Amino acid sequence: MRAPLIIVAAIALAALLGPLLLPWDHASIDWDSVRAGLFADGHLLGTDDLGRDRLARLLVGTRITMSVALAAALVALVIGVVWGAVAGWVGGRTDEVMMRIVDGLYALPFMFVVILLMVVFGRSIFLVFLGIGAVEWLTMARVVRGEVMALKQRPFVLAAEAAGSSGSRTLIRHILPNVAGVAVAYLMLTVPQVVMVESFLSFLGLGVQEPLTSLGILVNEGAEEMDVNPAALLLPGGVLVTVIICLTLAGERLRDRLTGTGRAAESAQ
Amino acid sequence: MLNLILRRLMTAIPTLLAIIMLSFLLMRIAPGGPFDGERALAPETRAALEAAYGLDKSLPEQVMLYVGNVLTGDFGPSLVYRDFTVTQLVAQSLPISLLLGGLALILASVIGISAGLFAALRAGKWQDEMLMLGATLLTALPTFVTGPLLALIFGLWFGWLLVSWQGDGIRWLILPVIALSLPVAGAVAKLARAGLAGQLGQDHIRAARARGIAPLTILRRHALRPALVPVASYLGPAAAGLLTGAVIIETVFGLPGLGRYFVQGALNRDYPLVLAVVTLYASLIILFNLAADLIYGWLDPRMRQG
Amino acid sequence: MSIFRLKDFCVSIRGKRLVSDISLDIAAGEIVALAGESGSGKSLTAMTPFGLSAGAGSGSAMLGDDELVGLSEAELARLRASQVGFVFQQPLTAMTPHRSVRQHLEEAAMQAGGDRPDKLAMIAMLDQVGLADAGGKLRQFAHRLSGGERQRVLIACAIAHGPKLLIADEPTSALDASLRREIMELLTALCRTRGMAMLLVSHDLASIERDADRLLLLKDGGVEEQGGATQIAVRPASDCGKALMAATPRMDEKLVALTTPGEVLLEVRDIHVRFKKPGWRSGYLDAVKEASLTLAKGETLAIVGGSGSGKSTLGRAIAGLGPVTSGDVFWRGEKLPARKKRTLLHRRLIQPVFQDPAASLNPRWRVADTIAEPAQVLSGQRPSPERIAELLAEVDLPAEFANRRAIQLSGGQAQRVAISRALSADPDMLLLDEATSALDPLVADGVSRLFAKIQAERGLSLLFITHDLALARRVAHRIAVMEDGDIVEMADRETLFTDPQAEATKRLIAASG
Repeated sequence: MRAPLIIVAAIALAALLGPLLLPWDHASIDWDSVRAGLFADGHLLGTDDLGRDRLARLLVGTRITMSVALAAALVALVIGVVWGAVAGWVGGRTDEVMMRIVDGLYALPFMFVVILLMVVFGRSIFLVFLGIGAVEWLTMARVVRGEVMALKQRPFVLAAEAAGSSGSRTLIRHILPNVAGVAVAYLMLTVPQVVMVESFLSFLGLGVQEPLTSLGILVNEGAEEMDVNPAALLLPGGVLVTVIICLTLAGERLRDRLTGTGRAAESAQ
Repeated sequence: MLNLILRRLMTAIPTLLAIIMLSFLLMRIAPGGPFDGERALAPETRAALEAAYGLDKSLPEQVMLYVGNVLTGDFGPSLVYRDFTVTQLVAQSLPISLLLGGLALILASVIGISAGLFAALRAGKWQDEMLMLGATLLTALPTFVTGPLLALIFGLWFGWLLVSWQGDGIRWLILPVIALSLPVAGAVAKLARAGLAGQLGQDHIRAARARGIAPLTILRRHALRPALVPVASYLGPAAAGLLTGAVIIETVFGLPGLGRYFVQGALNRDYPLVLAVVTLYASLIILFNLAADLIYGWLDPRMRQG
Repeated sequence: MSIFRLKDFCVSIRGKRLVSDISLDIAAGEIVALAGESGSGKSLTAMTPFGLSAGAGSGSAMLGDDELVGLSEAELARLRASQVGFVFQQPLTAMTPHRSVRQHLEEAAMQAGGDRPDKLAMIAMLDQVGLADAGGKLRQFAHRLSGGERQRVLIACAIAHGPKLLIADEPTSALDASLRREIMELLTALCRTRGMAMLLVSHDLASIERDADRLLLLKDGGVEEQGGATQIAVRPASDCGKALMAATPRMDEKLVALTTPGEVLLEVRDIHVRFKKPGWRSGYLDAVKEASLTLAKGETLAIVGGSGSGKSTLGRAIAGLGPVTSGDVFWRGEKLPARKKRTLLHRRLIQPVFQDPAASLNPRWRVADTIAEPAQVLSGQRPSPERIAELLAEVDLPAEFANRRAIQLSGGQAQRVAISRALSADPDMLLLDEATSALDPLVADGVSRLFAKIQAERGLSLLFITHDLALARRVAHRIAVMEDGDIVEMADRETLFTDPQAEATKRLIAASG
C-alpha cells in the first residue's frame, strides 16, 4: 500500500512546488518560441501552439485537478458519513426514507446530473467540485450505513448501553472510530472517481475554464495534436492515469484489509 | 416472482415521474434560456417564440403539460434543431448508441467474466496478480485517454482501422466499442474474481469436493451462479449508461449518437432534448435494475423472497 | 476387517508439524472418535488423509487396501467418490444454495458411477434419514429447510453411494441441543445396520461415551490417551482426560452445593415481546409470551431452551437492552422504566456478558479503557489504574493486560475482560447470555467457576441463559425451560430432573442424557 501512496504524494508535491521554480506560469506566452520542441529555449517540455510552457501547464493542471478532486471527495466524505451514520444509527422509518432517497439518486443518470448542474449553475471551479461532491457521496453513505448497522448489532455496543452510555456518546466513541478506516478507504477510492469526472467535464469544456487549466483540458488539447506530437497527449494522460491507479490500488487494498474481502480469497486456497 | 416484478413497477413509475419533473424544474430555474443568443431578440419575437414553445405559462402548468405529452410519446420540438422534433432526433441517434453500447457490453462481459474466473482459480498466484493489476489499470484508464490513444496507435500509426465515423457499416465501430468496453471489462473482471474466490472458500464447495466431484464440474455446477451475483448487480446500471450513449467515445470518434446530442442540448439549453434523454436513461436504469433482480433470483434462490 | 487404518500418521502445514504419530484402526460397523479441544488437531487428522485440509500427510493411511499417503488429488477424489462419505459441522452452509434437494441427492448417488436414481429411490433415501414429507422436500432449496432437516439431507447425500467409511466432523455441534441426540442416534444406527465404519470428530465427551466404541483423546497434535470410549469417560488416566471430564457437565453428576439466596431483588411480570416479521408480507412473531419470573439476591436462575425459544430476547428485555411490547420489571418492588428512560442508577444494577467474546469488546479500545467505561459513565470519574488492576485481578488476569487490545486476547481472556467490564459498574445482577458456549470446554469451565467465585464474593444474582441443560443443572439454583416464547416450566434443579412436568422439559432431558 505504501508505494502507490508515495507516488501520489510525489506527484502532488511536484504540482504544488514545481510551478514556483519555473520562470513561466501556465498562461504566459513566450512569443519567441511558439510550438517549441523539447528543451528548446529552456522550455523543458517545449511550448504549445500559443507559446505557453508545457511543463508549467502540466504542473498547474495536475494541481488544479488534484485539489478539485480532494475538495470534492471531502464534500462527499462529510455528506456520506453524516447521512449514512444517521440512517444506520437511527434505523427504522428514518433509515428507510433516507436510503430510499439514496436509491432514487442512484437511479439518476449520474453523468447527466453533473452536466446539468454545470450547465445550470455556471462554470465556476468552486461549483465544479461542489457539484461532483454532491453526487459522489452516495456510495460513501451506503457503505457507512452498512458498517454502522453491523456495528450496532455487536455486543460491545449493547454493553455500552448497559453501562449507561448515551446514544450520541456511543455513536461518537464506539461506532464512528470503527467506521473511520473504511471511510478513509472509500475516500481514497472517491478521489480517483472525482479526478475522472473533473477531467471528463473539462474535456467537454464544462469544467475548469481558461486561462486555468486541468489534466482534462490538457488531454483534450493533446488529442487534437496527437498525430504530430503524441507527447502532448501521453504526458497529461500518463499523470492522470498514474494518480488514478495509485489511489485505486491503495484504496482497494485498505478496503479489503478492513472488510476482510481479501481474506476470503486467501482461505479458499 | 410476478409479485416482485409488480412491486418494482409500482415504485418505478412514481420514481420516473419524479425524475422527469425534477429535471424539468432544474432546467427551468437555471439562469439563461434557449433564446439568450449572441444578439438580443426583439421583445415581440421573443414573446411569440416563448408562446409557441409554451414557455409563457406558469411553471406548474408547464410541468403538467410536459409530463402529459411525454406519456403519449411526444417529447416536443427541439429548440435548437428547429426542423426536427425531439422524437425524431432520438430515433436517429439512439440506434447508433444502442449498437455501440450493446457490442461493448457483450465484449466487456465476455472478457471480464473469463478473466475474473481464471484469476479466481489461480488466486494468490502470479496470473491472478497480473490479471487483477491489469483490471485495475483498465478501470483507471479514462475513455477520453484510451479513445484518442487507440485512435493514435491503430488508426494513425498502423493505419489498420478506420477511426472516424463515415456512417456506412459496423467496421467504424470496432475501435469505439473496444475503447468503451475496456473499463467495464476491468470492473467485471474484479467483481467476477471476488465473487468466485468468495464462493470457493464456502462450505458447500468443500462438501462437493469431499464427494469427489471433478473440479471443473464443481465450478460449473456449484460455484458459478452465486459467484456472478455481484457482476449482475454491477452490469444492470452500467448497461443503462452504455446503451444511452457514451458521451466521450461518441465525441472522440465523431459518432452521431445520443450522448453527443445530450451534451449539445445541455450546452444550448435545448430543454426538450435534454429531458428526453434523461427520461430515457432513467427508464432504462429502472428496467435494467429489474432485469438484474430477476437474474439474482435465478443465480441464487435465496433472493427470490424479495 | 479393517476399513481405515492410520499408522504413525503425521500432518504438517508449510513444514510445521501439527499432528504427530497418530495410529488407529476402524473395522466395519465400528465407530472411533477423535476428541480434544480446538487446535488439538482432531479435524486435521480426519481430513488430511483424504486431501481435504491444507495440510500434508506422512506416515501411512490405508483405506481398505489403498495407501492414501502420496496419492494425487485426482486419485484421492476417485476414492472419496466411491468409498467415503463426509458429514460436516455446518449444515447451514454445506448445501449449494441454488441446487435443490433432488439435485443434491442425484449428484451424490451418481458420484461413484451409479445410475440416476428415480423419484421413489430418492424418497426412500430421505425416509431412511428420518426426513418427514420426503416427497415434498425434494424440490426445496437449502434455505427453506431447518438446520436439522439440512443435516439429514446431507447425511442422505453422504451415504447415497454406499460408502464403506463415514467421516463425521463435529456433525452436531452447530445444531440445537434437542436435535443432537437424534442426529447422533441416526448416524450410529446407519453405521451398525450397514456395516459402515465411522470416524467421528467431536469435542462433546458426553456424546462420545454413548456413541463411540473407541476414543482417541488428542492434545497439541499428539495422542494423550486412547482406549474404550466408556472406560476413558468414566475413569480417564491422563491429566488432560481428567480435566476434560471434570469440565464437561453431565446429567448424572453429583450436585455441588451453591450459595444460599437472600431476599427477592428482581420480579418480572408478564413480559411480552412481539416482533414484526421482516419482509413485506407483514405478520407478527411473539418471541416472548407473557413471561414472569423472580430472582433473589445471590441466586442463579438458568433459562434453558433451544435457539429461537426466546430466552435471549427475554434476558435483554429484562436488562433494558432490547424491545419490550408489554409487561413490567420490578427491582426491590420499584418499577424499572422503559429502555430509553433508564437512568444511570437503573443501569448500574444489571450488567450483561454476551456469547461471542471477540465481538464483545470494541476492537479499537485498550482493555483498560473498556474496563473503565462503565465506572466512568456511571460515576463520572475514571477509575484509577490501581482500581483497573483490581478489577483485572478479580477475573484472574494480570495487570499487564490493561494495555492490550481485543485482538491480542484469546477467547477466554476476552470473555474475562468482558466480565471485568461488567463488574466495573458494581452491579447487583449479571445477565449471562450463553456466556460460556463459544468457549472450549476447559476454558468454559474456568469461566463458569469464575462466575461462582464472583457470586460468592459479591453476592451477585445471575440470570444464566444457556442451551445446555447439564450445565444449568450444575450452576443454577432454579431452572426455567423456554419453548416458542413460553416459560413452560420453572423449578429448582433437583425437582426439575426428578419430576419434570412439561413435554419440552422431558424432551430436553432425554436429548441431553
